[in-house]
Amino acid sequence: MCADTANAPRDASHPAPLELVGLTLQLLPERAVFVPALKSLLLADLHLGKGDAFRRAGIALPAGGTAQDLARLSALIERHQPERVIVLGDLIHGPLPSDAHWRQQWRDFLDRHAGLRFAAVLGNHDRALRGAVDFEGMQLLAEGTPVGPLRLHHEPPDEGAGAAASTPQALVLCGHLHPVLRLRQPGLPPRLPAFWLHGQRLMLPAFGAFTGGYALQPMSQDRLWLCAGDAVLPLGGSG
Amino acid sequence: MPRTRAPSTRERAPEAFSPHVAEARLEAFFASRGWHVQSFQRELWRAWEAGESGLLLAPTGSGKTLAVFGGALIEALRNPLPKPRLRWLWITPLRALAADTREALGNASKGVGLDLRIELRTGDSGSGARARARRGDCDVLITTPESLALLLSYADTAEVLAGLSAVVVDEWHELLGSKRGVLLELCLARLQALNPKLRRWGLSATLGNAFEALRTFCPQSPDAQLLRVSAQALKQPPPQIDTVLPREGRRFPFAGHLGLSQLDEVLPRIFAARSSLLFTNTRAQAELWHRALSAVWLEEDSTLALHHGSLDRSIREQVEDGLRAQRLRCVVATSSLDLGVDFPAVDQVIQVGSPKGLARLLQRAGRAGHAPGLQSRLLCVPTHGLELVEFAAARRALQRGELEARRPLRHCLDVLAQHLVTLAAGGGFAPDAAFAEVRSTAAFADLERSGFDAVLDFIERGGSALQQYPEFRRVEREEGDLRVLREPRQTLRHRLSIGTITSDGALRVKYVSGGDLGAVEESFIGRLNPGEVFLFAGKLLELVRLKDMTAFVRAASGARGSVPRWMGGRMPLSTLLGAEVRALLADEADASAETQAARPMLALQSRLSALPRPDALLIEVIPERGGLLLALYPFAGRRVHEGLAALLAARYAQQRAASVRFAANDYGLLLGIAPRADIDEALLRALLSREHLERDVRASLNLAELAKRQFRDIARIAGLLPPNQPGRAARSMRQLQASSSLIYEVLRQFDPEHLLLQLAEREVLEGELALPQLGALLERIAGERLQLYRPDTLTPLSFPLWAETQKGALSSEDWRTRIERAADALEARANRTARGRRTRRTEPAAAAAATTEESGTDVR
Repeated sequence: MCADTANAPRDASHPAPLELVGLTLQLLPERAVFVPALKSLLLADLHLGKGDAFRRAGIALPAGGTAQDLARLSALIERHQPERVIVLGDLIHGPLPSDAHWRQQWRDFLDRHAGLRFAAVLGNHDRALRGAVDFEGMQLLAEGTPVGPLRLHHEPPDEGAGAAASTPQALVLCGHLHPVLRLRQPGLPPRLPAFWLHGQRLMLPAFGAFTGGYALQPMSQDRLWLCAGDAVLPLGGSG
Repeated sequence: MPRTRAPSTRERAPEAFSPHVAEARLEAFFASRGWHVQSFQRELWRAWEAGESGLLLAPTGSGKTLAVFGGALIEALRNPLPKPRLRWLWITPLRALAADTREALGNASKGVGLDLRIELRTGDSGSGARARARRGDCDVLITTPESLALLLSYADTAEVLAGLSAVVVDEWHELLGSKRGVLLELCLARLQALNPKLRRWGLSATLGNAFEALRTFCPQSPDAQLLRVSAQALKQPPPQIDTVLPREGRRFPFAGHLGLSQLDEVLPRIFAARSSLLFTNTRAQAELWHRALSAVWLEEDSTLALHHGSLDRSIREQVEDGLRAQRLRCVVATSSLDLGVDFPAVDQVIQVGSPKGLARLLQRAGRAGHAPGLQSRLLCVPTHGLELVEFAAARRALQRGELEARRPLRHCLDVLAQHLVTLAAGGGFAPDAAFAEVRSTAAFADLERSGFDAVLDFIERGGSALQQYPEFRRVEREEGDLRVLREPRQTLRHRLSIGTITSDGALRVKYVSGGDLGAVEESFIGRLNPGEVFLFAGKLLELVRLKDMTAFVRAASGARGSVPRWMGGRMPLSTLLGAEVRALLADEADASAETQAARPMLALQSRLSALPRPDALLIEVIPERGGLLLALYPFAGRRVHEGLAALLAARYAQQRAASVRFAANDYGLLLGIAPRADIDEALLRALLSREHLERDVRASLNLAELAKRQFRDIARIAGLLPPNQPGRAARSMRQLQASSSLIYEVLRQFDPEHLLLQLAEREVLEGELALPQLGALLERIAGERLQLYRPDTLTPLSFPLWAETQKGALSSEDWRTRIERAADALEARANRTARGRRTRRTEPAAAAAATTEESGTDVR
């Protein structure tokens, strides 16, 4: 499977299919996962309003990142036609000022995709959403919410602790870490966002462009898929 | 001119002395210490008395401090105050110097019968001292440029600082040429605006560009005085330079840079003296020398110490205390001990490796026995053959009294942005007045109004395009003046970011069990995995984990560790010294012991190709399997050579389809070109053309990638990076974590014309790529003859360059083995050559006498 995708032509957006727990997961180079059987698009760590939080604190970052992230998400929705979109935590970055520009951008985005169901797992950055049931019409989910054989988390649960989460029948999807792989090769980008499968946990790269990364150190049984331009390149693993 | 005071003050004041009596008091103090007042000291006191400003250039230990503080003491005797009020500001670039300065000033003050209150305000000061500094509740305040900027960020200090009579800047040569110096220039302009009569007095080591240093320090006063105390005037001859020569019959390595093979020569010299400082050129080299010395140390371990800039302050202070208390036999140090830190002179200074520059060598030599009239001595340890010639060249140039210049920086818009926010926090400013004030500094003397307004836009609106920075809040206008937001968090954040100018992307190194060891660059630790062992602070450490910008370690034993490579460790040879080396190589009459010792190597160079000449550029074209090596020796220093190598490689590849690799060192550069082609003078002249230099340099390098690295400091200084002090990130800052490279990418994408991006590019072009110096070099070469030789093997000059090109391609272990093998072949070749049997070889695995560096001594 890995070899196939590595040799596949890199036409516009080439996803890597992954068969697990009886499902086919499409790992997308735009840093999201599409699950055709569940008609669901999953992504993590959007960090809406991050640039805004910086500007309000007096750090002069230009705007434009949010608009671009939302345009990318719209394009994915157009292409894959999901029925629901789920954000695995850290939908927003900081406080929720009612006058912030990005909030209008987000409402416009939701209006544009009014037929879809949107949901979000609460992440550590979503402090301002805690206690709420929904946000702008989006459903807010608790850690560990099951969707078919998937368990949706923000922070990767401990392997031992959530025993239910680690059964061979269930796959945990989570965000939070922003995994990237550091490449120390001249001529290559210094680091690339990565999907990281560790045991029964699949960690998604951050969707938001203005997010940092955690330089992951994969173990021998782990599998990695790198988001390199318009292709997802599999690395390592036995499969 | 003495200022008159209101009678009411004077009535309660202590007795005021006449100028004559005041000076006599000071002389009596000198006499009581057995010192003699020197003419430059008296000259300075009188200039001070007359209200003048100036700069004093004098070598270490010549009595600079009392020359300038005497002016303040006479002023205090002439014009006493009933109670302390801040009159003199004493700025030092080093926090570590502040305490020693306080003691020296305090003793002098008591010595003339005054009881001046002297306060410290540095980054280490407690809240009490900080509050006293702000109130101006003392006579003298000793502080750093950053702490002065911090004082200016409080509105209530303006009144206190307006009462200053003089500001003294110590070690001005250390600040000149750095962004800290630019920050200080701006702060001084502010102080001068608060009190136009403010005197400025600077103290500096001797410099090659004394007048420029003065103009930069005192731009406000056209008749500011330049006082020079030459070593000759102090009857202090230039330092005596001795070199450890290779033992009879022992060949000297051509390449290698650690010099550990000289250990057994150096050890007896250390034990022959009571105390020694052993200077190395890099922190990595210091770690290795310390490790090697401790393996063969004959005394108590505690008598050997290590001192470099990455070690924790408390560790460094212990070493400095040890030097003061004369508990230490030997300290292995880097430039962290070059300046300041007053301790009694050691008996012997040892320099390992290239001196790099004359001023630096002089400064280091000054650490030994610096009593007036005594000649300081320096023991030099060359690490390869050509460094023998470097030491001889340094001796010759120093005897002629030559020294390098330090060029001040200009137009640092990041520093200006920080300073303007400081002014906005410290009570606000009117743009027109601030523009005039900023232009009064040398750094911004020709700043255009449009450039200034761009910086205002940046701090007020975020950038030039208004719609790109919605909700940006930092400073605002109030009746035309710019003020920082009345929000404690804004001001706090700015204050935290002042003074981070010098910090780099460093991680703290701590024991898991507690205890701080220092800071090491992220780029090094990032390459290590937990469990790996490295050498730091003279200890073998195992990395346990990385967390919160901290590397947690535990002591390791046994295994050989890698040594951190710090950035900035690669200082280039100065142009002045490079030219002198070139001149010396051509001077066959030179009879110094060093050139004699280097003679066999020079003879081989001259037999295989030629020795460089002062009026020509030596070029070698050497065949290599499948291609050729092209080596040029301009002797202009590594940095310029790196730029030139990249430029030539790109220009060559433009003309012919070829693959080109390159390397550079302090003497020259080498291109490895495949496939083989004809190299003639016309082609070389075209490659070395001065035309389209900037265009071609931009095309030859990934400027964006280089600028991204440069941007890190710029972003921090200009307030684009949240202050991130390792281990103590403020709670309120946690939402504001972003790396400089992420911010760089966002700016490039959404505001590509941003002034800080342009600044980063310019700094890379002028700094790292040394474009102006590169232009000057090409200009020079255009007027020189090309000395083109075609040796059929590597030569002593080209071998180290060739070795360098092999370095990048292989892991370090492989590299070492391969170089050793090549060196063996060289030796065999040299023997054959010496016997007159020259055979042609197509592969350059050849040239002369060499055992490589590390092969002799294994460092664990």
